[in-house]
Amino acid sequence: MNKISICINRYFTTNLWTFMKKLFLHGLVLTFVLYAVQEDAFESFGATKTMLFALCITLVVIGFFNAATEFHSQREYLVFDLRTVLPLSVWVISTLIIQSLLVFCQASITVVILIKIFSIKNYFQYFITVFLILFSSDMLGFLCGFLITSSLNTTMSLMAGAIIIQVVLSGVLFTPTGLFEKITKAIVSYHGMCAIGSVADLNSYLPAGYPLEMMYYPDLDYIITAWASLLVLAALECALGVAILYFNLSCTEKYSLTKE
Amino acid sequence: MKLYIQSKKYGSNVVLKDVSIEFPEGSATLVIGASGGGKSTLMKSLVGLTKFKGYLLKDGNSRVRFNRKNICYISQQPLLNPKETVIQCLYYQTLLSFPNMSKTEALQYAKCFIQRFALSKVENQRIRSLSGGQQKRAAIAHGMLRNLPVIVADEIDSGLDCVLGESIIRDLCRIAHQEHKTLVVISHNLDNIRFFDNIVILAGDEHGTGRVVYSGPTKAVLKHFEAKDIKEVMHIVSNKRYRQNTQDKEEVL
Repeated sequence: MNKISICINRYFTTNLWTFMKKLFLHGLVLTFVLYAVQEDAFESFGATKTMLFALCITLVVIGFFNAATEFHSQREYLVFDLRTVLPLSVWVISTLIIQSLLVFCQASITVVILIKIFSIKNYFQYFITVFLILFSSDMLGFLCGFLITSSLNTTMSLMAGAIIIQVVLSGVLFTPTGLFEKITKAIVSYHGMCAIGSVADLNSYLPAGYPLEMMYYPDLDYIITAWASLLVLAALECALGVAILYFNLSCTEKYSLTKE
Repeated sequence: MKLYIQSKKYGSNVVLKDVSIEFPEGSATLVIGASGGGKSTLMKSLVGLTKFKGYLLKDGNSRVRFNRKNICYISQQPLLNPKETVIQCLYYQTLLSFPNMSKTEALQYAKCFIQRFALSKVENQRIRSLSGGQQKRAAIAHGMLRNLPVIVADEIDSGLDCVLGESIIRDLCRIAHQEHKTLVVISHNLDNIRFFDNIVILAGDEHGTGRVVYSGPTKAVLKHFEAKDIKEVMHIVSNKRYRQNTQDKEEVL
């Protein structure tokens, strides 16, 4: 516990400004995006869907870059610390606490902006949805931060690729079938759109006679399933990131001992 | 401490073979050699950065798994958080290394190292704003404060002017002698050889495999090679390899 508090204290001593900057930029970017797509939102189905899609993708990108850039920039000295004085478990727990705090603040800012622009009512459901989308994409960034090498080109390609996949397989641009339907189970934006579309009761804006879109089924059980999917995805991404880091740390530490 | 590398391969290329080196406790050892002699691989093997076939013995009798948790490794490029100030960097390193220490004690302990490595004037400056020499001093202080019995420094004097490089090497050797630590320095610089008790010279053989051509007291190296100075020793070592290669080519022709 002592080492965890040391790590958190250390982070905020040196990164408080970066933390505040992230919150400020989050608010700024989200306000800009939501103002850009606000026309007819919560009035027509198309405009509401576009607004929710823009919100979801913005949250995914922000969450992704929360972690990916940070872990990539500190990779070298972090690995050095982890190989010397810092137990991996301590670092993982303290990182999860810090990232959860950051995401909590960002989710709160998002809900405040949504209330100001769209006067949403069920803000608690929005808060949980936004928190889980941000947290899940944050963990995706955490995973990518350790997958990528020190090469800037590889880093940029991988990050761009991850974002493109999130946009394309969100279930909004087309209805995934076959293999793509299975892949979407591991896509944060897909579950995010399911959750946020259901919370916003997107189907209620459909003109009379149009068939309901099952992706946005406005049922509490369905919303809870989408939330659980985001949480499971976050846990899997985190576990995979830690496993990669553990493998990188341990594979070079062993000697192949031979008989004297 | 004794390191034995039966073989170290990168793919099919054998980089080191039958390397056996003793690093006496409380002594300073310099590892030198021409490029391709396997110095970097030796260092990586020593600090557990790469796998090898062999063993590392402590006190001559027990095989131990050394890694950077029990060896103070000072890398060529200082691996410190550039956003932290010198005092923050050393203070948190102290707290993480000695969890039972109080915050006041940790601060005092960190300040001792700041004074010891002449960093008092820059203690509140961020690592990224320090000069190359100051960053290296900070990296040494950062590594040393864990008070480990073995220190491995990789080309610690590279990129520094000769005066600063000499002072860093001299300080490290002094600490090793005073505090009875085992110091291993890998370097290209032959000017600071006088500060070391022992010297290890690595050279690649005709197949490019690194081998130890000398391991022993610094004072005896010139006599061993019948040379006037260490530079001549390095020429002899390099030419032996060159001659061997030429002989091989002539035989083939």
